[in-house]
Amino acid sequence: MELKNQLTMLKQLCELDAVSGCEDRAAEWILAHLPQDCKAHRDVRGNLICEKKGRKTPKNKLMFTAHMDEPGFIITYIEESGLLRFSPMGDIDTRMVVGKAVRLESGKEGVVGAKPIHLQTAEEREQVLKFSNLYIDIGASSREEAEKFAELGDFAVWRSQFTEMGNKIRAKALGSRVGCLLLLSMLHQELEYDITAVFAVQHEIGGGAGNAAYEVKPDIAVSIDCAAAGDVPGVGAGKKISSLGKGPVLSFQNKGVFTDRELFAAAKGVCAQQGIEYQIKDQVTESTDANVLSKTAGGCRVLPVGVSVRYAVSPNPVFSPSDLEPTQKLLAALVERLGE
Amino acid sequence: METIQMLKTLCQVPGVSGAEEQALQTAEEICKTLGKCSHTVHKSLVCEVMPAQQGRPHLLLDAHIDEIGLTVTHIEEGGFLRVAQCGGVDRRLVLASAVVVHTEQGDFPGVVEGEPEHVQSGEKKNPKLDEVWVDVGMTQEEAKEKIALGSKITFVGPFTEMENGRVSSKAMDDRCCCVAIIKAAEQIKAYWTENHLEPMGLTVLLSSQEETGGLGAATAAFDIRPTQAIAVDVSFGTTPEIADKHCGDLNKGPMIGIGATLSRKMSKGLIAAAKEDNIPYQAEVMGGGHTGTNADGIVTAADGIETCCVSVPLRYMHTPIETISVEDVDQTANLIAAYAKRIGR
Repeated sequence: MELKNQLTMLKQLCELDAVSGCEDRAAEWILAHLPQDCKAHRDVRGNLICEKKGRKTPKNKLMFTAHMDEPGFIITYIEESGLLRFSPMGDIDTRMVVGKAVRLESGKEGVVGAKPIHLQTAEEREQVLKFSNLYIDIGASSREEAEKFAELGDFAVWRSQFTEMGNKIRAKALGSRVGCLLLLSMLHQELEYDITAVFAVQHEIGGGAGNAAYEVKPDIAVSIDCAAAGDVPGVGAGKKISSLGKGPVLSFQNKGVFTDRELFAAAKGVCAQQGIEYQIKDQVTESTDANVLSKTAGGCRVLPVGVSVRYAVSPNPVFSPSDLEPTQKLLAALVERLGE
Repeated sequence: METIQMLKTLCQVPGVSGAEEQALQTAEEICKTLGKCSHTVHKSLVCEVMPAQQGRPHLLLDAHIDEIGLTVTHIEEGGFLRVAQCGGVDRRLVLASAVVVHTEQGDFPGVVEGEPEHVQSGEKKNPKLDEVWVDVGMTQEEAKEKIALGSKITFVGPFTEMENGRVSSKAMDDRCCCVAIIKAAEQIKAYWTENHLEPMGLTVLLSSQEETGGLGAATAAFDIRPTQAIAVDVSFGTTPEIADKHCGDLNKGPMIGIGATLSRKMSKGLIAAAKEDNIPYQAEVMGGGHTGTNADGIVTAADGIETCCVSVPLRYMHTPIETISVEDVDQTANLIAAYAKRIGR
């Protein structure tokens, strides 16, 4: 797929509102954009499981995953005044929420306000707000009015626009949807071996991919996700985790799981062989779906592949489209190498 | 133009304090049908709606055109922009905000970023402005080529239509009041024309640099020398965390200021006009010796100018999602028009 088409697809993917536990909109869109030769179904948890035929049957059963859910919010209480109280879905820093525009599950648009700076005490200016201090305002002036647009348990998301920014992109939900794009574009290619692709649910709150692995029973699972980028001012060498524009991110260990040593070596070998620029995470951080995949049933060997993203859990994550091509090359080559 | 349309047009155009050109240009397009437009030394827009007449009242309507924002102070290795504030930027909400950098070579989108989570230690803090940067997705070389130091940055705040005729956007402070005074001037001019009334002076001032001290209005008032002025700005709209501050409520009409430096006669006249014409209003007692609006600079201009404040209640002041009621903007225009008729008839 050409880069331009890929970015159009990525834009559409990022614009889907799908918070953990409510991934239907993303799943339906992906289902509608699968190639015809893919057999797909949703499991009990909501994971979208797709069987893709390659030229050959692999010796090792291969599963590739990317999660669909984005960080967001869940409505927990509606005030008599019509303001909506909410909790985070995912590990969200409140400083990314105050003063931001949001959208409810019903499509109704709202905002998360804050006490004006003029009325804050010196102490308040330093205090980081808690979720219990925050609420969504949709302009409703009573609970009854608000209930026309929100029910308890409805989700909400940040509503930031997909924007090209220099030679980078900023968009809401980028942290998960860039993985979905990579997995989807794999399915649109001719592959050497059969694979099972899983578009997984509930990563932001722990990971629903495990149940899919139970069904699929892979020998090898490759989890595609974002990797934090610390290529910004004030972060020294050895602390950056990853950098934008430097190719796919491999890791020997993530928080909670070791990468299978042979798979790690194979991935590096593939990159060297094919001249793919890659980087290795210089910190042991972040948990990807590899954690749950590694311990489902009797376990399987895991290999996380990352795309470097700045500020993944925020209304405006940033990534470099130049990282798409080398990552795609790596993924296709991995199918060939790991299926042998 | 419909009020909501004018709000959308004026709010979404950039005009950070000290660089109000684009906002002024848009405003002038709207104002030029009302009267002769000119610019002051400090780039405020003056629209002479009805020329001043010797011995007759001359009413000045002021609202500031500038919005809070940031200024580019330095370009880091990696292409990241270091910034300083233009007006009172709330440090609690800058992180991850979408912004636009305005330069002579065009507008460039960006994001405000701070120390990444994995290198933070101890309790989370609200960053100081010199601890954050703007990511514009460019290399240092590209950024230096395209972005001059001193370029202004606006926050992205989408125009959102909400329940109860409320709307949210960046720069509602104080563009919603620019709309209110333009709408008021339209009404007053039409009324004078239709009724062939004895001419009085009416000037609309869309002033610069309020958020950084009020230079624009104070100096313009000196030049204009009205007999009376109404400074129209936003004031705090009630929300739970400031419920004890006696603020104004949205959808309950304009707030009429009463305070030490403000003209008591005008406050009373505005209240009387509201009552007579059945316009909802809320009294706003402005304690202390100043109002925090352009009224402070206008009152003391030249040999002193009789001045009052009229305010539109606004929620979440100085955020990119400032929220007001369109109805309050219309009622503010109605109130000012009713008052003008009382003093000029």
